[in-house]
Amino acid sequence: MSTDPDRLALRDSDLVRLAQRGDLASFEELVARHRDAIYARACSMMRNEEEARDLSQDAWVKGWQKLAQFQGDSSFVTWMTRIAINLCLDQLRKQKKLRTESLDAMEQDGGSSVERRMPAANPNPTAGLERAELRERIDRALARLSHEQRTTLVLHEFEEMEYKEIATRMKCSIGTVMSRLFYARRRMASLLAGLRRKNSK
Amino acid sequence: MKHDLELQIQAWVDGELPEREARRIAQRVARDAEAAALAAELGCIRQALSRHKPSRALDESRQSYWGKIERRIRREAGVCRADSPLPWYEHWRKHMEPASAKKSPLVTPPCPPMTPPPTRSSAKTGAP
Repeated sequence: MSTDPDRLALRDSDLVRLAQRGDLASFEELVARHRDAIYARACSMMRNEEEARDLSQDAWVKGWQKLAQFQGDSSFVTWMTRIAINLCLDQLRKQKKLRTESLDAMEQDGGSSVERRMPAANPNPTAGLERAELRERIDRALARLSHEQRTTLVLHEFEEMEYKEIATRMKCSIGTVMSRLFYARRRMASLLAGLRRKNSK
Repeated sequence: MKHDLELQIQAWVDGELPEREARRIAQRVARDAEAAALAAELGCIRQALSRHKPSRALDESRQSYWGKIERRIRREAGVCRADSPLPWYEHWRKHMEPASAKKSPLVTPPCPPMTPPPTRSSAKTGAP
C-alpha cells in the first residue's frame, strides 16, 4: 500500500485502478480531488447546499460500490458526475419537483408563455460582463428557473447531453425537453439582460 | 413566429437537426431578422453557460467530509457494526501515520480489505 504523498502524485486513472482493487485510501484521494466539482453540480440541480452536500456524499458511496463498472471510457469525474446527477434526479422526483406532464401543462406553468412571446431583443444578453461577474449572474439566474427548466439546462449545457438522453433521464418526451430548454434559455436571456440593465443604472 | 419554428431554430443551434432540415433552417435564419435574432440569443446563452459553469467549494474539511463517506462504505459493506464510529485504533492509526514510514502490525485495518462489490452489469460510460 502506498503512502499518501505517493497517491498525491498519481493520476486519476491509477488511483481508480488501486481503488478497484480495494484500496480505500486511493478512493479518498479521488474524493478529495473531485468533491467540489460533484458538490457544485448537485448544488446547480438542488439549489440547497445541505441537500447537495448529502447527495454528493451519497454519490461517492455509490461510486465506490459501482467502481468495478467503471472502465475508463470517460473521465472518472464525468462518471462520478453522472452518478450524482442520477441521485439528484431521483431526489427531485421524490420531492415531486420534477413533473413528467405533457407539453400542454407546461404551457400553463407561470411565465413560460411570456418568455416565448418576448422578442429576441437581446441577441447578446451577456455582452460587457466580466468573467467572474457573469458566472455569478448565471448562478443567480439559474436559481430563478423552475426545477424542470434548470435541470434540463444543466443536463444540456453543463453535461452536454443530447435531447434524447435528457428525455430518457428526465422520463419525458423529446418535445418536452426542447420546450423546457427553450423557455429556460429565454428566461436566462431575460434575467441576464435585466441584471445588466439594473447594474448600469 | 410559430413555436414549432422556434424549437427548430433552437435544435439547429444545438446541432440536433438532420442535414436537410439544418440547411432549411440556416436559409430561414439568413433571410429572416427575427429568426436570426432568436438564433443569436439562444446561441449566446448556450455559449455563456457552457463556458461559465457555476463552481462551488465545500466548506467542510476533507477529514470530516470523507469520514462520513468512509463510515457508510464500511457499514454498507456489512463489515463493521451499523452506526459504529471508527474504532479508537483507526483514529490512532490516522494520527500516527504521517510520523511512521512503516506500518506496524498493530495498525492492521480492523476490517477486511474494502473490495468494491462485484457487479452483474458491465455498463461502461453510462450512469450506473
